[in-house]
Amino acid sequence: MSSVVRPPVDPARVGRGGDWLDEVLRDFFRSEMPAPWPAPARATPLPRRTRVSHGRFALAASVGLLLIGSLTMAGALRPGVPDAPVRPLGAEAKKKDLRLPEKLVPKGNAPAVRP
Amino acid sequence: MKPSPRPADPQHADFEDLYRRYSREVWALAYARWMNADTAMDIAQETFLRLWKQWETGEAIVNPRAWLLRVARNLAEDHAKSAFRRNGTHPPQTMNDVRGHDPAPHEALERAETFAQLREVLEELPRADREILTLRYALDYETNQIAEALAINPTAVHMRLSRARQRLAERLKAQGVGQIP
Repeated sequence: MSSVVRPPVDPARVGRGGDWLDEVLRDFFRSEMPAPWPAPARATPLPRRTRVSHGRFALAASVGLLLIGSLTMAGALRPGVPDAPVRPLGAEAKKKDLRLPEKLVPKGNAPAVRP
Repeated sequence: MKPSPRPADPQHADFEDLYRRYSREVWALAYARWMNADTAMDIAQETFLRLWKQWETGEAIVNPRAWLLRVARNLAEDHAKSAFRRNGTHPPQTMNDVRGHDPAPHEALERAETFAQLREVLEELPRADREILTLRYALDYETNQIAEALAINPTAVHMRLSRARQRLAERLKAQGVGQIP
């Protein structure tokens, strides 16, 4: 609370308006402005989007390669995959001549398949 | 190339550039709302933090100046709901700028009293008038600069400024300050 006697403003000058009012207003508003002007509140640096996307791309590529690699390996090692035509068995085999070609039969040995 | 100790961040540079260019305007609008320099600065800082966060989301801001001023106005209004208002008190700056126990030289005291009277009158003016007066006298803006900042016609600025000054003079007189016509 103010106990100071008023008014300090010169009535004559107020009556003149203009310059005095401009002067007082300018002084008043400038006195209100922070001096020195503060720096902006420090914001944390933005994450670099390019680096992030590069990192994500690398991660996705690595996972992809890992998956492809594991699937390929699993396929290569799977048992029962025929490399050669399947030989017929049973009655079907009897109908066909499954003897080895002569050149493959070792000399002095019986034929591979009996008739 | 030798790496700099702190690599230049273009986004950070843009941010600081915007702060340098518009923080005073943002402050002025908040100040015109509350007539309190510290509150206005808090609002200005918060406004710029929000700009930063907006950038972080990756959303582009077409007109940063308009965006900042709009956010500052909204924050100034929201401030009405904050503790400052709920406490029902005013910081020292709004208490007529008088710090009664401080020993002050005569001239400084007189100046403080002048400002206190002026503040009372300014607080009674419409906010729009205070905005124009703050931009005009705190930032030394010309009519066209005020018009740009407030997105109004320069003619309207001229009229409102003239009217605001007239109201100010009238109210100072009404307080018994100016008896001479």
